[in-house]
Amino acid sequence: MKRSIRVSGPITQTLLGCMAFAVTLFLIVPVLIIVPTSFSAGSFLAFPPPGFSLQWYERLLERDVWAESAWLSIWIALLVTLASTVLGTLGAFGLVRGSFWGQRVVLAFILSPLIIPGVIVAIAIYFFYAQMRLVGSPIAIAIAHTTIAVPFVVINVSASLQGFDRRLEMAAQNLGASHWDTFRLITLPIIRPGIFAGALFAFISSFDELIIALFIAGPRQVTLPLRMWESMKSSLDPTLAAISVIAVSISVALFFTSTWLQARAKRRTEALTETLVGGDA
Amino acid sequence: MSTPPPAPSISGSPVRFEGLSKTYGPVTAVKPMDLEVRAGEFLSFLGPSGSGKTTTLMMLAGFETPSTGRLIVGDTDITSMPPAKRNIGMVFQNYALFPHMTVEQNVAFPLRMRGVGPAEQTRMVAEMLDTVGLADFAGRFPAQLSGGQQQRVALARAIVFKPPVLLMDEPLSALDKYLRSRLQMEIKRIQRDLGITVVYVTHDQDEAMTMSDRICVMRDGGIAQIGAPETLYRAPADEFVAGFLGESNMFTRPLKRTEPGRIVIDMARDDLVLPVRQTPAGTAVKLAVRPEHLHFHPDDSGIATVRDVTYVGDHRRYELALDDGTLLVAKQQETDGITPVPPGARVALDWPAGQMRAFADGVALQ
Repeated sequence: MKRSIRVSGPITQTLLGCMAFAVTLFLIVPVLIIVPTSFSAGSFLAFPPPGFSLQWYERLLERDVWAESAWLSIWIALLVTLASTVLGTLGAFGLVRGSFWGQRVVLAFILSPLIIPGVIVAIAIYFFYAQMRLVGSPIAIAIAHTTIAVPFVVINVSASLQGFDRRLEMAAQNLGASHWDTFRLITLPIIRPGIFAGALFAFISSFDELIIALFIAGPRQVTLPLRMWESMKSSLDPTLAAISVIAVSISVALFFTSTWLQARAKRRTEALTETLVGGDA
Repeated sequence: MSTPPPAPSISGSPVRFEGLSKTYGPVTAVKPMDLEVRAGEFLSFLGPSGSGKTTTLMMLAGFETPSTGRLIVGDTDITSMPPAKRNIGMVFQNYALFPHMTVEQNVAFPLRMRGVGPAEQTRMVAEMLDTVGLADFAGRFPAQLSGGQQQRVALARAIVFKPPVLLMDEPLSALDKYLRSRLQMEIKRIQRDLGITVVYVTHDQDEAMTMSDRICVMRDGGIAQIGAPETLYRAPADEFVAGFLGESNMFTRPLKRTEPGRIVIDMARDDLVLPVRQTPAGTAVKLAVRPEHLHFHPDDSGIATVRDVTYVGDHRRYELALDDGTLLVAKQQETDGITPVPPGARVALDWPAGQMRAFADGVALQ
């Protein structure tokens, strides 16, 4: 084997591995520390905890405000997921399948909330919504979150559509399917993993959004991140850790569900291309 | 082994192209074309890529709108009918099987779209899968099948609803040679059993020759020649067809004389008189001789030298060089008692004049 092909020797390999492990540890340990802290027997946010108990989870259940905030956040996130999935999917179809003047500008415009700093988006939204007297309503939060969630759906659905073989749609029509049936029975099921992934990102981007909520939520619409932020400022008790664990668990569970769904869908289509090349009767 | 039930019979419809053409802005993809495919006929469009054969097929399927002309299937004008209403089966080049549906669901799809009841669907799908030999694979997904099996599913799906016309766009091009010839025979058998009209697109001349009742050779968006495989092979209308279908040795010879109804060609050592239908204007003609018609024997005063010999099993393939450098190919049947002529030997050439084709300005003279 030529020397130039070998990227690194065993020592560099080991060093590289250690480096990567250390960086990962540094990123993930703060999140993991929350878990034992949330089961603390003490009354302050401290690590290591003096002992273990479920008292902070009990506290969560006893105090309505946390549950209220959690429900509000979930409802807003579901609304955002629905709206941004429909809008983003339609947008992706237009951008991938259509060809019109200024297409790239429109794409850049739709993706801009990902690039512009969150605070600036929040301030802009605040002033605009204030004029329209929308500030202080949960619907306003949902609309604002939809603008930042749509790009995730557009990106994911566009990726699925770009890999989509349009001859499948031609085949369906040739076999007698109307445009609606073709979409419903062929296109949609095949791009579904992309839509799911987009919807998941949309849900999470709304569920853990703080800055916009900070600007436009009224005193009675305290979303979960907002409640955590406020609790953090006033008292540092482990309730915060307990709610964080629950929030992280929801995100992780959603993430794994979607990964599993995507992997399942991928297995079928990938094997298809393999057998097309070789194989016998 | 159970005997397959008799295949459902379909009566094919004739297809008529009336001045059909397709232009994209200034580019002409298909020149105005008149053609009648007979009911139950297997017609192939054969041509190099860019010759307009796929565009023609796509117009027939309804995915391209003709610029001029009409398309008639049976008694129905389908020129401006949407693809879903045409009731024409089609097998796509990559099969276009629905990856999220099982074999059974794929084949049932056209029946489902036509509102066939579930019991009848099950019966028709089972019968069709039996016809293509895939009865045991109903529950599999396309990804779990080999290329040949996928091809059969695509065929089953395209004919299960008994369309009067079946279109096939290079359906075997992704398969290996052995499988291809097996499926060629199988497709031919099913087509004959069902009596369905087939319009087939291919760039593979062997495939077109083996399967077709008639071949329509396409070139630069127009029909170069249309006829039975034998006619095209024996009497190509022009140089392009002669070169495209099978192998041909082409060489130019000067004309000695032209007389009404015949020409006299200067063959260096002697003259050759060839009866023709039209007399050429120029002073030279191009001659085409198939490799299997070019005979030779060792002769030190011959006009060619053996350059190379290749053993191909049933025949030997000789490369013969004329003194001016022109290379000719000859096939010698491998029979007992024949000793191969070694490279370097001088040989004399001859061939039956009746098997020779003469062209002037690319057009056949005979």
